Amino acid sequence: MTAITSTLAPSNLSSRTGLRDTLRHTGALIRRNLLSTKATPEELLDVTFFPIIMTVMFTYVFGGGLKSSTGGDYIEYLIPGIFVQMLSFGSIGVGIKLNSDFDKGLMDRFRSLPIARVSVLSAHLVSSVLRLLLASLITFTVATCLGFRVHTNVFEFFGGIALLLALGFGVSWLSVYVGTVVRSPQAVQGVLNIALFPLMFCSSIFTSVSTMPGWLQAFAKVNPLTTAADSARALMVGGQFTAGHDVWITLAWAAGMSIVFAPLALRAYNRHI
Amino acid sequence: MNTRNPSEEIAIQVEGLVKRFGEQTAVDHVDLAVPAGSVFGLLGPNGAGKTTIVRMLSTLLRPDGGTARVAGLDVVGHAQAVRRVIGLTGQFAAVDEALSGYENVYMIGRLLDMPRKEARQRAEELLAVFGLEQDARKIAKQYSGGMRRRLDLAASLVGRPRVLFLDEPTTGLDPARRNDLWDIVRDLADGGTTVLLTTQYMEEAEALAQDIAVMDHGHFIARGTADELKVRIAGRSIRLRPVVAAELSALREVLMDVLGAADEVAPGTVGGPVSEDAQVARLLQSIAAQGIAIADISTVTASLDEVFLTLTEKKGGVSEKTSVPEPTHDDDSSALEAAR
Repeated sequence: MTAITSTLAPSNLSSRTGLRDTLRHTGALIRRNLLSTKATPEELLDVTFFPIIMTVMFTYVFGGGLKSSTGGDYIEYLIPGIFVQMLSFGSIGVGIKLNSDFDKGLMDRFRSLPIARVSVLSAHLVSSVLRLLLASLITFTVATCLGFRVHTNVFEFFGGIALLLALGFGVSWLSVYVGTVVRSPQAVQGVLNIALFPLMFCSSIFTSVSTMPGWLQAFAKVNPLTTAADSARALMVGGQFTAGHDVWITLAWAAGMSIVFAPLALRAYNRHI
Repeated sequence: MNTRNPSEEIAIQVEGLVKRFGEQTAVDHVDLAVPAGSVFGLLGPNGAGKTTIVRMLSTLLRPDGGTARVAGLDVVGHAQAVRRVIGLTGQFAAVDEALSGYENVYMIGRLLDMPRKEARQRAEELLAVFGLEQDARKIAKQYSGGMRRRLDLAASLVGRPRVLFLDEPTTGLDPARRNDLWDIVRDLADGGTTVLLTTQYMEEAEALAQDIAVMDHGHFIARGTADELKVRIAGRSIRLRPVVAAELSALREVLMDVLGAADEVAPGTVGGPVSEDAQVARLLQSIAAQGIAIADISTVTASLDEVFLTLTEKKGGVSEKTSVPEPTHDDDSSALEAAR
């Protein structure tokens, strides 16, 4: 039993945690998140299986009907939109993870350790991006099997993925904010689904905005998921799909969401008991 | 730090600690001094404020008033330094269910700035101590409640804490596991760790803690060792059985007279509270004077459960002032003062 406490911890008065330490702590917590994902891969269903279902359903069930409005090969129209859908909905995960850390008392354990509080949050954000990159790879593989082909160069393609990740990052801050203020992980999912579902369907992800009634078009055209989907189409497929200012508008949305929700999220996070 | 000098070094020093949640005062001017290397028991019903005290002392909650020092460090001013010397095991096992037992403990080592190798060794060492080495690679979701508790405790000991907070550590454990945990707590204290333990079970406080504070509605309503609490607060009682049952009422009169209270505690037996030793002698004299023949006589010390119930019921029922009988001597008058 002497093993438990052979020498007790020495006092160390310094109250700051250095950047190098914080990075190392964040690393240890990212490792934790990745191990957790490895142990419960079903967590990835929302960013893997869900996009695949949507792809198959829209391509084969609705695709025939939708094709006339979008022109050309429907799967080439759809897949960039599926990336948008996956990377925005996938960002809900970070809020759920954070909320369940509070919910299960793990946050108390972390807060009783001499680490910067922010390392728990930053580890969740980084892990979220890593999960989304993995999910992008899976979606891309499935899309390729279904006949999707990239017609642009590799820089444009990855530029498109990066643009969508940036938007996902903006949504992540919203997700962190919601994850910190609502009471349960299920509520995080509920609140963000309510926010994102109308955005997803009233956008150009599945069909051309021009088929919608006028009043809805007004909303759909400024919807960040529309500009993101149009940008992604231009960057991944090109040809008939052009982006115009959409890339910049999408970037502005991404930056705007981060600027608005990051301070709100950080404030709520630091106040959370 | 291996040597104990309980009387000299104070590991937890609390003065006038206050915490309010809205209108409600969860902790109301509490004073506390726990010598290094001792086990302090905080005893009270749900909602008494025990967990709130633990959360303030472990830097999770900011006090609204008063000061608290852990290992000589202010919990507000030097929170990060406090975190380096404490361990916390909360009411609910704070383990990551998706991680193996080993990974849970290893992660804490890394977060405490241990190099990989040291964190690995420490994790294996602690898992062995807590009998989890067989299941070290299983994810914690598959652990039983008792195993999770032990894993949680192992995680809180990674940094060899000087002060360990255990918030209702045995709630939900079966008796065998509970005894194991008690042994661990005793070993920790022997190793020089100061332990502050909250519990709803008197038995637990009695088994582990040198010093006990009974808490209710944010106040300490009594304080002392288990024996002191039993004798001084709830007192002893004396029971007498007359040879002739007809003399029962006469005997009862005598008890009323000398002790101020009497009751038929069992068929043919009367009992009354004894607050000082001299009363027993006077009682026996009076009985002899009355010529009542006694068949059986015994004194009973109240169980700590009774003490606890007496104290918390009094507190809960009546106003603030009716707390506890005046203690005859010593240091816990200050705690009682604080309680008023």
